[in-house]
Amino acid sequence: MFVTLFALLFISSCQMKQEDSLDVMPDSNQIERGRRLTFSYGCAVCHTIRGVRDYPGNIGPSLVDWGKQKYIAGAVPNRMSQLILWLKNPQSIQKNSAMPNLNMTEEEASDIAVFLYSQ
Amino acid sequence: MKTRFAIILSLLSVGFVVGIGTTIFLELGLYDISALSPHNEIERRLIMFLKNNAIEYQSGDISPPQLNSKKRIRNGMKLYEVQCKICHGAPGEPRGRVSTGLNPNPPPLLKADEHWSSGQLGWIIQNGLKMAGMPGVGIGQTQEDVWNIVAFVKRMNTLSVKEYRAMKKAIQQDEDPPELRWESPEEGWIRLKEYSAKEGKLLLKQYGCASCHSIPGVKTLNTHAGPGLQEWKDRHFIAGQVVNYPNNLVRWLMHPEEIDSTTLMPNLGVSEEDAWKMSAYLMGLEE
Repeated sequence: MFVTLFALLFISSCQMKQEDSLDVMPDSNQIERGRRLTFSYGCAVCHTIRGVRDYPGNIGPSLVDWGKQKYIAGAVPNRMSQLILWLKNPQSIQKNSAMPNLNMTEEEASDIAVFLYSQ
Repeated sequence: MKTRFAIILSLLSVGFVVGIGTTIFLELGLYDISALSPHNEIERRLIMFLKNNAIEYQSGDISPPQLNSKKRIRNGMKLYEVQCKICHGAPGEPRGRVSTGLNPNPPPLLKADEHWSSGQLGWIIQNGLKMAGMPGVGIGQTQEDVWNIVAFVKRMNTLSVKEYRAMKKAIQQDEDPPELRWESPEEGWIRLKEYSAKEGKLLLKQYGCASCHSIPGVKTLNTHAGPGLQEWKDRHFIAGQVVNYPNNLVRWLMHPEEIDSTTLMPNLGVSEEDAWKMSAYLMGLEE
């Protein structure tokens, strides 16, 4: 049991270095675009998100301090490229996920991802 | 006398200025009417306040019929698929493209049962809601149909994506597989009361759960490897796979890989008894 735990902790600490490197530096326009898209796609009806409040907001996990989270859906490391993939097609990462595929474009997904890492 | 006059005069002038200001604001068309920009927090709270109070008052004391029955849930699901899903989605399915970009966002109904009584749900479906884009579904429908929809909405509160798909298939093919459970399960909550949350808390510590999750009351390392478990009782899904219901939580703690084959949550060889105790503690974590 402890071996597993230490292995997990070790993996987590390795990933900590990678998550800081965003592919591009986000500008404030992109963050604002992402914030509005996050509202319009109704992300906040299931997730608690700082800066976008909606109802009921507690169906999926809270996304407050999202940048600190190590994994996406407990399956892949939380990195920009993986997050964009997840937003566009959750089922490609976690089969049977309750997170729906909202058919967003690549550009919209990357705006939302930038916003989520910024808040 | 003089001071009273001054107070009245200043009140009148303030009212006058506010009135003029409002008129100019409305006249010039400065209100941000785009559905793509969210309401500001004051507007949002005001609307929620108005909506909650109006529904509570106007739904009065409607008493719903017995809803947790296979026939009602089956028929309600058929109606839901055609009339409601396009805006409210379903477990694992998004709302339709047509309703994306609506403001307010139509809420997913997976937790509707926790916010509204059956009578209130019936009233909302029957009458619809002004300013929310919710149509009065009661038009052209019998009262029984409305109750059937309520019955299915309540059942959704306990449905996983897999169960929902199985039910949908049964409806489309007009079958009735015996292994399909149509009624809402209730026994897990009753069993949970038999276990000690206090012992559960100690077990969560001993199994090292807090090395990956932050858990209120258990000292944590804050590694953020797994999601935080604050207010766990209010969470709807476990790993986005099954509904957060005591039986499912116990199964998840014992055999996470059976529920989600890709999960990083390890199988720690938890016994069933220990899993129930830990669940008792976690399910006690509410707002």
